[in-house]
Amino acid sequence: MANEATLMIELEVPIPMTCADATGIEKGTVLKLSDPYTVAAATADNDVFAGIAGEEKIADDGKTTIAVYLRGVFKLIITAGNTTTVGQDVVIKGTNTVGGYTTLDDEKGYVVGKALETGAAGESVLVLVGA
Amino acid sequence: MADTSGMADIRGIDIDKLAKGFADEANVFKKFVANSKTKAREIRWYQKTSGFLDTADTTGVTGSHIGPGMAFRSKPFVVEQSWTRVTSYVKKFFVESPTISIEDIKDSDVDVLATNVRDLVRAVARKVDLRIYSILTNAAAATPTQPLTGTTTVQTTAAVADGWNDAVTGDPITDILNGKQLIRAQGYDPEGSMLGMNSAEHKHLLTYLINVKGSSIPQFSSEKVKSGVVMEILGCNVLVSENFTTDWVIQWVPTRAATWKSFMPITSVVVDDPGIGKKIRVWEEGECLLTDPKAVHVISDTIV
Repeated sequence: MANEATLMIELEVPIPMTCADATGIEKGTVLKLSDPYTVAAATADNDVFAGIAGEEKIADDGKTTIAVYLRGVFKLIITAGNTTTVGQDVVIKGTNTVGGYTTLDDEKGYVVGKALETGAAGESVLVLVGA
Repeated sequence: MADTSGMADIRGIDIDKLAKGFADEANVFKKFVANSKTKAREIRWYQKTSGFLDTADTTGVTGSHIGPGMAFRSKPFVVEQSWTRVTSYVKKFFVESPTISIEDIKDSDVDVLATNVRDLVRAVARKVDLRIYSILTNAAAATPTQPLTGTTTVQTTAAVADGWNDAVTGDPITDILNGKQLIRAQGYDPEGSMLGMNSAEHKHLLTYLINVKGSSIPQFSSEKVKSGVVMEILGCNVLVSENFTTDWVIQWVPTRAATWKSFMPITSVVVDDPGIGKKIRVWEEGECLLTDPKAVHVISDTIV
C-alpha cells in the first residue's frame, strides 16, 4: 500500500471500531468515520477523520471490527498541492495523505491532528494524531 | 468455481519461515575502547594540560630553569600541572516495538517476537557503536558518520596524493606510518594500535600490496593473494567493518584513546498487556569520553 501511516510513538493501544466485513483494510490506513461508529479507508478531502488502522482487516474473515489508533505520533504523507505548517491542524486530503486545514475544518470534525513539522507536497511529516 | 488438476488453487506451497534479506554487521567499537561504569548521569573528568612539565618562559629567557644550569644551594623554580575540567552527560539509546498482538505472536510464519527482540537490541547496540565512532573521530552530532565535522581535537592527515584507490600516486604505507609517527610524537605507543577501515579501503590496501608493490615484497604479496586479508600491518591491528565510513581510515591506541562510561547496560524487557499483546522495550545509557584525543589519528581522503 502506498503512503501508509507509520507509527512512530505509541501513546495508547488501539480500540475496536466497526467496519464492513467484506472490505479489506491494510494496517496503517488513514480511516474516515461514518455513522454509526463505523470506519473505512479515507479517500478524499473533507472525509471525517476516525483514526489509523492498527491491524490488517482481511476481507470476509467474519470480523466486523478493526483495531484503530485514536492517538499517537505518526509519519504521514502530504498530498500533492498541499503543505503543513508546524503547530497547525492537518486534515485528510486524499487516500492516506493529509494537508493543512482550511477554515471551518475544525468545527466539522475533519482534523487528523497537529502537525509537528512544516512540510511541502509529497514530503512526510510527523503528526500528533488525535490532538 | 471448483478446481480440477492443472489449476493453481489446489496446488500446495512451500513456505520457508526463516526470514532472510540482510546479513548482520558486527558492532565493533566498544571492544576497542576502555570500558568503565558511571554512577551518575553527569560525568566530570579532567584532562591534563601537558605531558612533560617545564618552567614558564619569559620573552628574554626561553631555556628551562629546571636544569642543567641550576645552581647549588639555591631554591628551585616552581612548576605545576594544570587541568581542564570537562563535563559529559550520559546519553540514552531507547526504542520500543508497537504492541504486538498475542495472535500475531502465536501464528505468524516468522517469529515476530523473538526477531523483534533481537533486532531492537541490535538497533540500540548499533547506535551506541556509532556514538563511540562519532566521539573517536570528532564527528558532529548532526553528521555522526562523517569524521572531523565537529571541533577537531584528534590528529589528522590527508592521504598522500590522490588516495588509496589511485594505483599510481596512492601510498597507504606512508599514510599509516604518518599516523603512527604522529601518535608516537605525542608520547603514545603506536605498536599494536588499531587501524580501522571500511571494506573499500581494505580492498585498495590489498590491491596496493599485491598489484602495486607485489614485486618489491613478493613473499608477503603471495601470501596475501592466498589469504585475501590483512590482519596486521606495520605493527597495527587491522579492523575492517562497514561501521567505518569510507574515505577515512582511523588509527587509535585501543583502551587508551577513549572510554565508554556505562550508566545502564543494554537491557530489554517484554511489557505484557494481558489478552492484548506484548511490547518490547530496549535501552542502554552511557557516553563515550575522548580522554586522549592525541592517541587518535584520522587519515582523510583515502578515496579519490
